[in-house]
Amino acid sequence: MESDVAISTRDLTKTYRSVEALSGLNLEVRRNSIFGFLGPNGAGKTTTIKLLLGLVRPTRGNATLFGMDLAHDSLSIRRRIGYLAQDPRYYDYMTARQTVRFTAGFFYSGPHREVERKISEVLDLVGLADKADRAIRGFSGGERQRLGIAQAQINSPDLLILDEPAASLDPMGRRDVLEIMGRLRERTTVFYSTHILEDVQRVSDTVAILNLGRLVAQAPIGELLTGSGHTIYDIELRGAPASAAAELRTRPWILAVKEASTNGAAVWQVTVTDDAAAEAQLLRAILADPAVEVVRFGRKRFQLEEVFMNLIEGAAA
Amino acid sequence: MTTLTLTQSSGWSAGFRTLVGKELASWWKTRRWLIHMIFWPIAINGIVFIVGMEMRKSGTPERGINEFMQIFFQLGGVFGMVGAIVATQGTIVGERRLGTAAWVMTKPASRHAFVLAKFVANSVTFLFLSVLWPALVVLGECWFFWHRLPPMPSFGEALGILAIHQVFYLALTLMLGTLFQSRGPVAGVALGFWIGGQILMGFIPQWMVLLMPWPLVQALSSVALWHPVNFWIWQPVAAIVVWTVVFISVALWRFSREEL
Repeated sequence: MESDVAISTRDLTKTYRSVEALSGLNLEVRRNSIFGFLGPNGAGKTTTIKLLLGLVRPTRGNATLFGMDLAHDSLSIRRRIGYLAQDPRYYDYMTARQTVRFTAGFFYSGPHREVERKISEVLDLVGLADKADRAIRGFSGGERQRLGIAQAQINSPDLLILDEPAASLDPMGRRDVLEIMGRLRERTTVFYSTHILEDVQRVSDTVAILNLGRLVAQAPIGELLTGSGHTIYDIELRGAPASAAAELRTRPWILAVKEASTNGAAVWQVTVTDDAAAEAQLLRAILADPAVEVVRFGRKRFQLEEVFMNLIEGAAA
Repeated sequence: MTTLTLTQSSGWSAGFRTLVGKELASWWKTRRWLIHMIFWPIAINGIVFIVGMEMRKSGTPERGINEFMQIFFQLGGVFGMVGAIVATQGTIVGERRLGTAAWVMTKPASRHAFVLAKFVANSVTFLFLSVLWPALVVLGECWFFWHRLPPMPSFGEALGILAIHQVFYLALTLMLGTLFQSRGPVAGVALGFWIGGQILMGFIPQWMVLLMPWPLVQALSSVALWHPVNFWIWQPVAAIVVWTVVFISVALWRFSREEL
């Protein structure tokens, strides 16, 4: 039985002359996940993808895909992969259908009618059915990207590797690509690199963050957004909260109360050291003060951008 | 319901058929074939025709055929060599720079298949368009002007040698495409090899000249007309076959190490 891991890398390293583009990457991607691979420009995302596709050779370390060794089973691995490049380029003299047909030739030997049906199916999936017989020379960036997804899907891959799939697209194009990714998750593992954090938060279930060729974090997105270390409560209040804040600060399980105000309301960020005590007592303790009214109360959920910036800046410092 | 049959090819041949199909399509499903189909008869047979118009007034059929063969094989050899270099110079460099080579190599295709498909498809097509097609036209011209044809076995033999000569330059250019990063040096080195050869032929030992393709073009019309041809001609022919194999081997080795 095949393992539950689609991609596993061990100490994967790539050096170009004296520049270490990727350094000792240890990564694990579970099957049927949408894995967001994040990092600023030059972080090593594309290098990692090229290594996984066998386009460049690692300087050190290795990788397995579906349990197969990248160095020895490259052809078998590529039979199970679909790939969309950051700036997909195809043969301009071909139409969209011919491009997908050319790709299909690497995977299927027939029967002709079934291959053609499959080609129409993937073109339909990405909304290119009506432009299928147009030369791709005149395609827009979004249409090229859709074609890229179609050709990457022709073999119904177990793993879809997408390099910045939405980077060059307008908001509509981005929305469409993310929708397609969402549709594909049922049947395939999606590994995609991006620096658009909003997209990652929308569709990914696991995230890895890379900076300067090094992995700085890898976790399920929920875990990453909850933050690490102490729990923070995000509370919005009306009234005169000064005495309530002072009272809270006397509690031993409260580490800090950070006060701010927005549109006349007070916004607190309360950092606690004991989750159980906070759950049982925090809200009650605030409501005990008749001068305040609680408008919003809950654990702080970080935005991915905050997490990303903290990690990147933390790694740089 | 019928199910899709998966391809079974592995090793060096993985993806070869698909890649040959793509290479052939780049000639035959674009206007490229038409341009060559028009260019070669104009470049080679056009001059033969002009000479024929001049000679028909005073020349004998023997002299006419002789002249036609000389022009055809000399122009065919030189123009064909330049054409082979021009047509092939970007075939690997261009794909590497554009990113299509990297894209194709993410599919289950071997790197050897990528290079060999280019060699096979471009050789077959180019030989058809720049050797066989003008050869048919020149035979037509012989018949039109002189009502006779050159001796066919020897004409075929000369045509075969011309084809080997063109394939040598195709293989050389293909190999250079795996070694350099842009078209300039690829075309420059290949053309420089031919031009340098014309100069060097007078200075280097005869045995070295006979290991190169340089003396072949001069000798082809003699082969075609079955004039007594010295046995020496087979030496450069054998040598350039060996060179072609060496060039393709180097191209395969180099491209298999290429980081795309």
